[in-house]
Amino acid sequence: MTDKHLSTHFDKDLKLLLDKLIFMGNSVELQLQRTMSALSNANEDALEEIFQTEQKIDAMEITIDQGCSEVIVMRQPVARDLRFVLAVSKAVAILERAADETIRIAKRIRSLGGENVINPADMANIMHLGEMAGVILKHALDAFANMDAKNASEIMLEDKAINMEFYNLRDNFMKAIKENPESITVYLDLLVIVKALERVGDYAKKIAEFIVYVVQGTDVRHNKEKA
Amino acid sequence: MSKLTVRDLNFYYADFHALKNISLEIPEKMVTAFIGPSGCGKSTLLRTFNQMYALYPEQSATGEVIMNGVNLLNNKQDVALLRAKIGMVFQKPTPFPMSIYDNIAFGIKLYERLSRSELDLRVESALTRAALWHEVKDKLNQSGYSLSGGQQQRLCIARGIAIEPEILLLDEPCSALDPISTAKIEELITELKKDYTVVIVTHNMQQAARCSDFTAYMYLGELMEFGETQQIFVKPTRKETEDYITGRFG
Repeated sequence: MTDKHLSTHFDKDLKLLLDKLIFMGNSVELQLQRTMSALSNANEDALEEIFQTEQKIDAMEITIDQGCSEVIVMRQPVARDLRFVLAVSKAVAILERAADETIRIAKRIRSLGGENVINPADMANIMHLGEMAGVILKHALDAFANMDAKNASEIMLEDKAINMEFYNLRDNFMKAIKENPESITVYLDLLVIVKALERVGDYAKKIAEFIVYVVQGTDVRHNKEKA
Repeated sequence: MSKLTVRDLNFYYADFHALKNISLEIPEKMVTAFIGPSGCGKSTLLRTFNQMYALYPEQSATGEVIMNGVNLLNNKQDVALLRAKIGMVFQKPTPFPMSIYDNIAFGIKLYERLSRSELDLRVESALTRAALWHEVKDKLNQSGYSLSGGQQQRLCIARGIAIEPEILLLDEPCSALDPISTAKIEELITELKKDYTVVIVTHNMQQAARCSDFTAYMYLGELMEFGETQQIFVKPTRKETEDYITGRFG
């Protein structure tokens, strides 16, 4: 929100919602980084920390949603203020789901059980996809913090690149399973991991769609042409 | 369908240009709300619809306000007859200093000759449509002043609709009322649009959002934006409208 209301308290309420959302988003980003780090290092302690942080992120979702309800009750927002509050409420749900994906990955890391089970080339590709997921999430949060609809449309393109990367990896994994059927257990875990990373990209794209909704008042969800 | 067509309407308080080239269509049997800061001309616009300004020689209007094919500004018809077609309720309740019954019957008697039983029915009908009948049916002979503020305002609405107008103008009808009376009037407004075209001026934007089908935003005598209420409050077209309704107006 760029310009000021007559009520400075209203401005503070909206700013507080935004700050809390960005803090939650940063926590999810950090969670993703820890998860990818745990994958490459097979670090059991890191996994434990990831599971504990998930509960804190769940609590943040509830707190921010309560904040949205309070702003609606106290301020009766309309137009872009209303769109902003609705977008925050939806974005927290999306971020919570993105955090769930990191838990999904963490469980697969535990299932893989230790070092050297992943082919180095596959590991490099998965780490690259993880990096892409982290970058798109960061871009989405930065764009939301600045209500930057221009960057939002670039994020939608980034998501397409992540999808392409996911499909390539999936095809590679299928090929590897055909060549060595005994590797199926490992590759099924890896498939879950890359799918989870691909979903993080989808969630970042959804956050970008909310920015367009707030700034332009246009709902571009499920609209392939505009998205 | 349009009930009232306003074209290039300008209004002057002597040298002061209060309304500037207003053009819009007031839809029939809908509620149209006018919002805007104090002094923007919304009440002035309402006053031109039933020529409330006619008593003041220094006030004048140019342009067209067309109802049923007739430009009300040029028409030389009796303003009392015009106001029977376009009734008005003001900010403060203005009951006549007479009984509740006579407050309603007085206006009817000016325009129609009815038997006592017909008049009784009309009074009951008007009070029922104004959601007041059950509260006053046992004290019709008491003074209109004996009622609460909210009841007095509903009495004024009943008085307005008793003469079967085509349009009902409400100039901040709830600004002097408590929330319960306000809720009753808002409920009533929604009921009234089944039979009448309602135009309301309000400073309460939530009220405009709750009650109206169309909303017009006015600023400094100009019509800035006019559209469906849902569109105005969710996605206004003009930045000026958005700044005003979101409280960024300074």
